[in-house]
Amino acid sequence: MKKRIKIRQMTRRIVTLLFLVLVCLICISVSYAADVLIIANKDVPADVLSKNEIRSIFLGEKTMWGKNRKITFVILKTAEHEMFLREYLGNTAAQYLNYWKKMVFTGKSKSPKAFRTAEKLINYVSEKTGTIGYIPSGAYNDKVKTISVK
Amino acid sequence: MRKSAIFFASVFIFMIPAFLYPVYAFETGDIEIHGFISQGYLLTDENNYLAETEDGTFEFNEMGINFSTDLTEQLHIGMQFFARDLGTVGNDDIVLDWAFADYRWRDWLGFRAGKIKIDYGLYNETREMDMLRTSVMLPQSVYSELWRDSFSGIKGAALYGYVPLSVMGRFSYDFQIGAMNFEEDEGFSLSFAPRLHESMYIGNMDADYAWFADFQWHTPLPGLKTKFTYYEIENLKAEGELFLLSQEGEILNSSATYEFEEKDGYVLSLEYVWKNLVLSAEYAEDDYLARMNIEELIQPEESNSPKVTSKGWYVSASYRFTDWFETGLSYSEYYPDEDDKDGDRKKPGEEFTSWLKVTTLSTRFDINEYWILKLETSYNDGFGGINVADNPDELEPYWFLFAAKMTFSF
Repeated sequence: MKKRIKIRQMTRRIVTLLFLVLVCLICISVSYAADVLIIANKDVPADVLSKNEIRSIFLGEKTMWGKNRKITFVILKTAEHEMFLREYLGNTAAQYLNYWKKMVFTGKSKSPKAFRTAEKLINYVSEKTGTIGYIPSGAYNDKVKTISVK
Repeated sequence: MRKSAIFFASVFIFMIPAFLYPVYAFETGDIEIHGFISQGYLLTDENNYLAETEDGTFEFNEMGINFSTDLTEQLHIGMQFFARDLGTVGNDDIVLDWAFADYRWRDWLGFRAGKIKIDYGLYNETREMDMLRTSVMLPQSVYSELWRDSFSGIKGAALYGYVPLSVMGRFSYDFQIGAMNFEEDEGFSLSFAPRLHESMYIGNMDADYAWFADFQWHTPLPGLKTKFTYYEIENLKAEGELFLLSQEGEILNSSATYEFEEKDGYVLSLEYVWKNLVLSAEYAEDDYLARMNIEELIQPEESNSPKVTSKGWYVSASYRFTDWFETGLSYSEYYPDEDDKDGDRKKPGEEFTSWLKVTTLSTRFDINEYWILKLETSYNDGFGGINVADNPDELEPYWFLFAAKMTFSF
């Protein structure tokens, strides 16, 4: 009888622990999602994109808005770069750099344009039609529009 | 030699801005320029492997420079010049590695025309670029160093595309068709000659055309992708000379022609990336069936050589511990003739030339975004599929290879 109670208590503790781990994971992923904003030039026809679409854009697989408007994507070389890659591409910065070196050294594409500050990236996105990028949420201003992620 | 020196100097000049300013690409207007240069060292305790490695060799280097631009929103063009040296192969002669125009009509359909890198398995396209992998040497069971020059590029056209599959992940394809290059003094010819006849010297090797089909599926499990490659080389022909022993015991020098009725192969690939861990495995098979025609036989005759199938596979794992340190471990097996895996048809004492089993431990140090140092050691069991011409003395069945390589890329 005592043994059965002990097993029950242990099971309850494990379930609680698992629940707490799950809550932590959700909080972490929410905070990543909240820290990085996807932004675009105001003429970009999309307001909502799926995670898969964002991944395809930043891997150079999806290159058109609709049938004939070119997508240009830009990257930010700050701490948010790692956060963005982890959240949307499941890559590390080293893996992403290698992926683009592969594209460049096999002639399949030019390398993505990179910025060292969010301000410069926003200015570029606001001026160049069809452009998409990401910034830390605190850096947003209304020169560009935000893209919701479904 | 002079051309190589000028090429080396050109690559070096373009590198100077990368030293001075921390940028990845060098841009002049709308043209983007990238390059790389690497110098390696190979040492074996027994047997010469691809070069005179028993004494250690620095004849192991690669360099390349490329130029590319977008002519319109959908049209991209570029070219890369490349030179390498590995023992007697390459000798730093400059070759056009790739040069093509790429028109992306839709995401699911693009066209390429020109000289294109051959899409074969996971890593053939990037084998010239040392900085894109953990190891120095690619697993020889799937990416034979001897076939490298012929399998580097194809002059022709390609269709390719990316197709999203919603919850099923995403799919991509690449279909390439064109002419491959077979030089009589390069690896493919040199490695094929002894497989056709033990005294064969190939003076000319050519094919009508070849085609490669690749299908890649990024599965719904994040980081897991699988790929299938199939290829055929049509009407491959090898011409050369060989020595025959007549019934009277005379040695006859004869010209010989081998016409390949079949020459094809496939690769199955699997790669899983989870955070800093990359696991990969590939299995390759390669077949040929050649019809032999030897002129100097007393009664000239044509005969069908048996179909020969070679098999190889490997598994590898690499892990990046820090921003600057990565390590990898791989195991591979290769059998040049699957019907003689144990070497029963070989001369006594040479059975180990029927297989090659390699365990490799690699380390990679990313000094910064541009500089990489790699140190690697391999334990080799056997000598299958390797050109024995570099080893006039007796071969040893068990041997170690040490490789070091320093690369700069921008």
